[in-house]
Amino acid sequence: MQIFKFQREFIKQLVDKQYELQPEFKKYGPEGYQKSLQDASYNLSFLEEAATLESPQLIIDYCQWTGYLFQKLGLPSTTLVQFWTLTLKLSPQILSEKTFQEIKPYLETAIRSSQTPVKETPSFINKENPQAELLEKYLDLIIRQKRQEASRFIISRVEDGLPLRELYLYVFQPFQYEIGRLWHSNQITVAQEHYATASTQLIMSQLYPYVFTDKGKKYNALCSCIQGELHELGIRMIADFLEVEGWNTLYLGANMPNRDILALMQKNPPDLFAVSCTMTFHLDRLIQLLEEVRNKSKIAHPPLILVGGYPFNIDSGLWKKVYADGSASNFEATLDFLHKRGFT
Amino acid sequence: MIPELYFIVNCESDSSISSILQLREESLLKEGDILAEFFSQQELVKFMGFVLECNSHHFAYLPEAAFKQKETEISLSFLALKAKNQQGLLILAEEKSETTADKLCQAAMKFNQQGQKNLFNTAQGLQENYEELTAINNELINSQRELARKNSELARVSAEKSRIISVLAHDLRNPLGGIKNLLDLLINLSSGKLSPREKEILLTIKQASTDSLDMLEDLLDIYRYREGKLQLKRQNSQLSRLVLSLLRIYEIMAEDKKIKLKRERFNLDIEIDIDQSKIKQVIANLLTNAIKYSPKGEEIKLSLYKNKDKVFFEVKDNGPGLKAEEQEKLFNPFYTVKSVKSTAGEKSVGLGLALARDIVSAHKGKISVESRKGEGALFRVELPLIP
Repeated sequence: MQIFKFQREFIKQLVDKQYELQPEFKKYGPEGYQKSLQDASYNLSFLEEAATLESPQLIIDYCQWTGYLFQKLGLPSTTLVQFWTLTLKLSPQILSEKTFQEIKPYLETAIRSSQTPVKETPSFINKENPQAELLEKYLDLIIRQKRQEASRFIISRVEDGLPLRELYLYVFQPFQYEIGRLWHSNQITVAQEHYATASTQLIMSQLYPYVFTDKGKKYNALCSCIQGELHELGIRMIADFLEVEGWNTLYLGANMPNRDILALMQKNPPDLFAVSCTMTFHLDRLIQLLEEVRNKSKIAHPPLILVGGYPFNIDSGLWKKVYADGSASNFEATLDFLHKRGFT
Repeated sequence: MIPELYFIVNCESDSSISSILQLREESLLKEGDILAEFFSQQELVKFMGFVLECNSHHFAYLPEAAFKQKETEISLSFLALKAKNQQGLLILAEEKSETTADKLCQAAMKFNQQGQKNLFNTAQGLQENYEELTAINNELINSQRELARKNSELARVSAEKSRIISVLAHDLRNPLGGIKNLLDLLINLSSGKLSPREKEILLTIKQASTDSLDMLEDLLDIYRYREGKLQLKRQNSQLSRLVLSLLRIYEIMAEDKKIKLKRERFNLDIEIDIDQSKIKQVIANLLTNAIKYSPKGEEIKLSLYKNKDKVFFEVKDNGPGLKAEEQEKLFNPFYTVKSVKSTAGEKSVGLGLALARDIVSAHKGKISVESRKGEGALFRVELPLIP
């Protein structure tokens, strides 16, 4: 369902009303106003996806996440509650009674969640991690912008026999989560976050001689991000990991148009289609694509479909609503999923 | 119909006229007049608002205000412009006409529409660039992955090739050794019974089997090095003694071509931990090549010296020299320089320098060549004093 998309006037009305009620926002000037419009648009997109997929968990998590971000940015704690309350009040102006009734419970959930005190996200570096020391050193080097040193450090550990699986699972994955947490809690800038991600991407490429071995390949996998999705690191890790595990992988990368994915799938039907969607507001495109793969495309034997990304980590049953066969948040879960379906 | 222009003047921010640019009639205004005084109290608010607007936004338009002229009032439209960083304003007044406001309004709308269109085009262009950049990035990652995959396949094929060659060399070595030994026996047993021609044939066969055996040994050594199976037997050695013992043999070979082996910078006191037999192979190979490619009567210069942490052994010949691209491939197995022929028809299979490089590398040293086409070649071996 498309509820708020393209409702620019409504979004503007909401923001103007919020500015009337919270005039302190005016101090952020025109730039702040533009950001408020953008935030309002994001808020409504998440609400819409949660309602469409009937997943209250998605909006609860979003409110917690955004509340924490706002707190760290020093914005008033009432910002989000005020926004949802206004949306609840003003939505009947633009929505039919039926649509409003459908969305109302999610708006009420959003209001309640936004009133709940935000919790501090714990660090992703913990003592139970068998590679905690390595992870800490890598993080330290990257924060100090010593990319080359970090690369030499990681590669030397692999040369000394550290299995790639351990490196990805206990270093790269928690590292990316930790970087996200540091940005979320306003401890590092967007530029630092991008530097960190680019460093991991670079080192992953430098590790290709260890990824692409002459191990016999039994199965084919197509790995891609959904159209519009730029967070490609997770699915690249899965592709590399599958390659190490003896799969022949075709990696399509970020922001892949649905039509191109379908065309490739028709040409060379894979055994597995692993697709990543990190931003919740791209879920509608994912549904469109997977519905097409399942029901409308000319693929004689649709592949096994594995989905992954942030929304699937939040709502463990979400994969069922997007025409997938399962979801996985890491390699262990991917391997488990594949074993259960006979790919050994 | 074009509305009639009344005046264009420069004024200060309080509307006092500093200069007159154009007047409909001379008696209308003069420099120093204050424009504000030409308006009634009621109209003055409108006019000063208009001046203030221009002072803050550099542009203002007043569609209609009654301007006092002698005893009467006329309706005029005003347009004001202010240049950046300038105090004064430019004020234009013309006869009020419906068309003035309409035209301005239309122009503003057109300007706005064009702006929106430009903005839309820019945004669309950026979106397209962004899509293209993402696609290029994906392509780069894919190419990188594809290269890594091919690399792994090549490494596998290369390892397989090495295995086949080493198996082949190993299997050929024993029968060839047998042939050589049997030939020795045959030559000894038939001593005095063979015609000179028959003896020459047998000796040629023996030489050919010796050369083939040497080649197989080199080949096996190369693959042993590559697979890390060959261990060095290091011992403390006087390098000059080793070189001199070889020189005695090679001076005889060189004499046939009237070539002189000349020692230039030659340090007699260099002790180093090396595998003597392997380093001997390297030096012998360099000397053989130098003699092989030097024209008759030329000189080959030899140097042996050290610095704080390295030993250097150099062989400089006056042969035909090598092109840059040939120098790059010179140390690859089975590479022979097509453009260069040995001066007395000596043969080469292109294994000697490959083996020399492997031996020197195993000693953590370096072998290199400096040459120009037509100007001879200098081969240099560097060995670390402390391995």
